[in-house]
Amino acid sequence: MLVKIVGNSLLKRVRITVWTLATLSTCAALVTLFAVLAVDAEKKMSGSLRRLGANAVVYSDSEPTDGVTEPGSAGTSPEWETVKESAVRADAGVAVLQGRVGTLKGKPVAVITSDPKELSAMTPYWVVRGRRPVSPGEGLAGKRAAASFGIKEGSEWTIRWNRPDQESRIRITGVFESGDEDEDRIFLPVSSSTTTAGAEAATAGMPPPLTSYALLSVPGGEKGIELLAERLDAGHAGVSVKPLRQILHGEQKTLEKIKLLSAVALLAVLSLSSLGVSAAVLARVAERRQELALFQALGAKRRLIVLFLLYESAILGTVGAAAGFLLGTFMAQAVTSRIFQVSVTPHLTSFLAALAVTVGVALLAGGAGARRALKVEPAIALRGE
Amino acid sequence: MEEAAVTFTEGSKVYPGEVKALDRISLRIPRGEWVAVMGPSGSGKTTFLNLLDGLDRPTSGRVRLSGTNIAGLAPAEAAVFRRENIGLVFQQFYLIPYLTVLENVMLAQYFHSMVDERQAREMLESVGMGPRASHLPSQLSGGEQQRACIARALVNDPGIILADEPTGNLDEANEEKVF
Repeated sequence: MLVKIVGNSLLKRVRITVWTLATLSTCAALVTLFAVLAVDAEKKMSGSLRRLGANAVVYSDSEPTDGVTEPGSAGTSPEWETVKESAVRADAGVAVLQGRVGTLKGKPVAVITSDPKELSAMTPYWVVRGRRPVSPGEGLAGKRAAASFGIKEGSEWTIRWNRPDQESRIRITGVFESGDEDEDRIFLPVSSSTTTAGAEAATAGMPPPLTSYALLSVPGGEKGIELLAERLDAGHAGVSVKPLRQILHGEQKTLEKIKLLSAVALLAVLSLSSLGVSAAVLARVAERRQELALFQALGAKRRLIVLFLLYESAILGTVGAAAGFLLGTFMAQAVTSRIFQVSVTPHLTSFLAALAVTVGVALLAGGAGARRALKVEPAIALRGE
Repeated sequence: MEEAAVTFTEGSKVYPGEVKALDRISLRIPRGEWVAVMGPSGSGKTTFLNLLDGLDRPTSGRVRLSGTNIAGLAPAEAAVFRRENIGLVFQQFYLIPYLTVLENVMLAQYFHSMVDERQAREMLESVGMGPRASHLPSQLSGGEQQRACIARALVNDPGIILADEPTGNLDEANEEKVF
């Protein structure tokens, strides 16, 4: 009987039911939107910030000291392979760099080789005059190195190595500014995807690297870097991971600010929508003052009247939450695709958050309405006063 | 002496603003009697009934129904007493608009104990409303609504029926049908 009363009450009062559902759905949609952003935001925003470049550097614990360049040694030695595999599993970007010292115009110069695509992904903030090198025989000079040696775009140079028969001829395709010590260096492209023979050809005439390191762009801030370091430790990769503190700090700060802003906005929106929902539910109860007075006159237990109103509120809250969840997911999709160029997938957490908040607010408002309804003298309500 | 169905002793009701609706009324109604209280509009008939059924409380005096001081009961206790002992018929019918006539009658059963559709249908048949059982109140005439209201008042077999101008909103033809 209770189900019939509640069902008919909801279906036969279309206007107020629709209005109440609209406010509840709005509440649920906003909760869903913020829940999706809260759950996904850190990942997505972090991913977005990752486009700013590397946030960690990996050093090898053992450096080669002598010998000849091994085929495929441009970032493909076993330890760096492990680093690359771990980075891919952690959804991180990676570029392995190798450092050598050669001479240019009789003066020493630091030369770094790396895959051009990987390096480009890790250093998007470099301001390049000209273009980045893409093929063997091309090079990119740092601003200070260019000034020191008089290097200009399009000019050709010969880098001599420590043995008389070793030299590399390069054509400078661009000069870059980075704001750090990289400006003292010359970068040469060595594709990591070339065949062994190709890699050998690319580094032919070069001595073995004096140092190797990798730049990483790890999602998830400091926590993500710690996790990756643990993974590398567990895999005995023989490397050390160090966060680039300045960049990470900035990233963390930005993420924290965005999260704080989201929390404040959610609180404000929730308060406002709760007020709206309460007003709608209270209006619903007020409209039925006479009906509830009749229930009392016919001998309905007060507990039953409260149950009736709460049951009705719970149904409205659940339907509103479901509708709002769909709307909120659509809104979240629109927001994230516009801002982060990524799509979000609806997940249980945001639905449960929307359901809990919406039904909770509906029940609170329904409870307040029931309390108010039961305060009214039935005789007065039936008189229509 | 047999206990009266209703005993109203020196009952008064004063509304805010010193409006005296009832002034020291005393009345005794034995079981099995029909009593009609008559008077002009505003003379306090509805107030008198509201004091009898416990929907309102007297400012002074005692109201006893079947030996129970209903004026001394808390609202929740008064509700229990009403559903066990009193059948109410209202001038404005007060049928739930979104429930059918049958469901309106069953509502009183639901509040009393448990619903019995067969008994509710029989009650509607007894007031000539059987064919209208599945109609909504809005589809009924005033007389039909009042008869549905009477069926609702009688369905739990109460010891006392309190009817507040049961034919006040009806034309002559419907008035005859109700009685």
